[in-house]
Amino acid sequence: MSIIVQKYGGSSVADPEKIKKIAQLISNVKKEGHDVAVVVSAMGKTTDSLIELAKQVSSGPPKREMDMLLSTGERITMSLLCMALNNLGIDSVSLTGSQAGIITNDRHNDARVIEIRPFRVLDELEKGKVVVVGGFQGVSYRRDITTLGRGGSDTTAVALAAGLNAERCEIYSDVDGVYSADPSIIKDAKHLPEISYEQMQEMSEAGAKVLNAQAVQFAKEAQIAIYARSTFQQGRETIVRKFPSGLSKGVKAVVYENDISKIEYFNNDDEKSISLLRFLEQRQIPIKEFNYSKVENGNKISFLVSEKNIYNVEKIESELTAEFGNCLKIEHGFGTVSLIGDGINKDNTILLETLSILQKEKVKIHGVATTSFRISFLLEKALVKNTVLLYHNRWIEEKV
Amino acid sequence: MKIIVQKYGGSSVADAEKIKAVAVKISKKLKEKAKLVVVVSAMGKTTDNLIKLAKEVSNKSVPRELDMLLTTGEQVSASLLAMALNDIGIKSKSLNAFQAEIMTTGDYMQARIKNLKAKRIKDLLKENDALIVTGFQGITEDGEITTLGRGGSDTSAVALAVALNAKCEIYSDVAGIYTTDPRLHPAAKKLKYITYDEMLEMSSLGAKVLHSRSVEIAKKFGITIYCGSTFSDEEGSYVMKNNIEQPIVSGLSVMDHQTQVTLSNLPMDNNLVQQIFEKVAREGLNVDMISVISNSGLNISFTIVEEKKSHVAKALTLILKDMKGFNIHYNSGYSKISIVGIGMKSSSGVASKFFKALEKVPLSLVTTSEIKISCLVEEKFKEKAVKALVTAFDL
Repeated sequence: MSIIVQKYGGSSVADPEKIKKIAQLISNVKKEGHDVAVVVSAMGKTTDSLIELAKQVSSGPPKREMDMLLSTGERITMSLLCMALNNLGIDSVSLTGSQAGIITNDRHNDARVIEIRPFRVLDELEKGKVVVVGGFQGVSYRRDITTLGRGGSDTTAVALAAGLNAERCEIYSDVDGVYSADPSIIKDAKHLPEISYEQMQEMSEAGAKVLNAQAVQFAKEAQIAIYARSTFQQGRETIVRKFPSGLSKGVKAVVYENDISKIEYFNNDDEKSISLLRFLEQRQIPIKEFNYSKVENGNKISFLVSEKNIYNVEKIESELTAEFGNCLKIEHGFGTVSLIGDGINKDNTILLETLSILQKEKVKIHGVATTSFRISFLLEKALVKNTVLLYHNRWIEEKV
Repeated sequence: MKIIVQKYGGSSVADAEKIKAVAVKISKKLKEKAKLVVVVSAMGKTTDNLIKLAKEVSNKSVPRELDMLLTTGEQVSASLLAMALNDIGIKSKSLNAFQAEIMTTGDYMQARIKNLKAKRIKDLLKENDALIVTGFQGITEDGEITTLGRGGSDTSAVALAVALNAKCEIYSDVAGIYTTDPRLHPAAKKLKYITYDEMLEMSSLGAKVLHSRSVEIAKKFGITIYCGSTFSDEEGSYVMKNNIEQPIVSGLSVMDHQTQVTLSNLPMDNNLVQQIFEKVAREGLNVDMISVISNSGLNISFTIVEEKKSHVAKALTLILKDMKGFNIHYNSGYSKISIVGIGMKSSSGVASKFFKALEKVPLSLVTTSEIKISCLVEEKFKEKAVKALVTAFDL
């Protein structure tokens, strides 16, 4: 029997009517003879309202409690979906992340899945039931509830597909796949029918919201193809899978991320740099684009922090300032724009031209980082969208 | 380590401001050099809203999934309260039923607590000042999530108090237990003490202060329950084994929407009586105020809640389908009024005082137990009857 894992995002389950429609879609797949495991997100804006509630009671909510709170959103959806399935005569059972065996580390708010123990899911599938799993959540070895960060339901779906040795993993949302840029700001963004794991992973890490980066990583490791589709509009899809390198040279997509903070720390003792990093690690703050350099009279380290999974920014900032004083510089209000493509840095031509485009437009560059699949620029937040447009015109639409 | 178990009801945690106020109340209690285990209900109308959502996706009831759905309500309020406490510098963690190890039977929507060792709670109390536990819910040995029925948070609190050998305090928007419902009779007096048995009668008669099951557990293990107001310092009421003040009648309670079922002129057959009640019980229907009289024929009368009328009628029609010559009547629009008091056991004259007080009220049915007298009156006489009894028994 072939197992299909499906994931439905928040906008696909936003109200009871949509939940009933999805129940119908699932029942059709089930009747085709597949075993179906479904992963759901919280309904519409539920997570945002819960975060709002937390802010009302606390200036710096503990991460563990945030996870207790936010994980209820998916539980509401999954139980409602099972009720709707039951109404259609489809036998089903809802399972929390913990009941489904999604074991994570203890990095609250941004936990990593370390193991899938899908015994219960397999048992229930064997009984002929549709299994509905709450996305975005897991349980740590301390038996605390954890969440996987925004978009974490994708990770649940792919990890589950890997654990169940599923035939495929279908990710449904209100967009019919992956585009060369965010279609909500670039009207002529190109739909990508296929994309490699590596490129998708870079896109997700650079801020693309279509798929979660860890989800792509899991898919790559388990060699499971991801089908990104639109829930209510059939037609196009994007398949994320192993893609023979060499077929797709050049810039494939332009992605951006907002709400980035830049942190710089000057000191004359490496021990101090290490204690800053340790401080952030203890508070489970993920950093990226870390840079170390010798400067006059000492060292400088700098890195970026994405604020999207941090619910107590102000509190952490005041603790940081108290601990590391005035040698620490925290600047908010940045964004990144990244070009993604296989072998994008094989020579310097793309880097050179992108830099000169920004220079011509008098856009101030606050940082540049490159990997073999990506070139990223750190800019003021206000300039991000326009830069995406410029680059998309040049590299995707090739209007010079 | 001194431990106090507190429970805060839905109206006490209805919004962010109230949750913060409860956090402050807890912080004051901590000054008594005790550790706190706090049981919370879902915020305000959350449970009702979730039930409404469930009805929108399905017209069938799926008990397991309903429990999965409803238990999110307490997890939200528990985590928010833990956040509010940490925000004012109190080390606190929220625990759901799985983490607090509240083991129950697998009867969804009406599970019973089987086992509560609270080992994890004891461990966590070493490093926390207050632990917030989700009320109303439990977990089976197979890891399935269950609920204890409406009002089950009281039961969670009392069971935790038993396991932790702690005092138990139940807070709500009412300052304690009153001789009768203050909304119905504003002059009702607050009781300082009430015995378990009286409280059980009152709870089962519709007084919504405490969940019956919680009182049963408190009685079994001799736990005193303090019922007080969340947001005032007014002294509340104690539910305990003996009532030091020993009034004859402690309280009066009213249950509306009663239907009287009367079967008359049935053949004299005890077997038939047994069959009728067995069938009704098997349908999960509660009957009350039973009277069976036989003279020329057999006459049976009992009360049910109005909303179960068609259900009961169906069951009775089935049993009596081969019989002829009897009559069956369903009369709705009744209220059941009861007076309860542990002192009735040892006092005479309560019944005569009761009938004297109600001489101007037509009574449709009267039943008594050791500590209770109940009467059935038409709803239009309810107010008059309550007034008369409150005056006669000084409630």
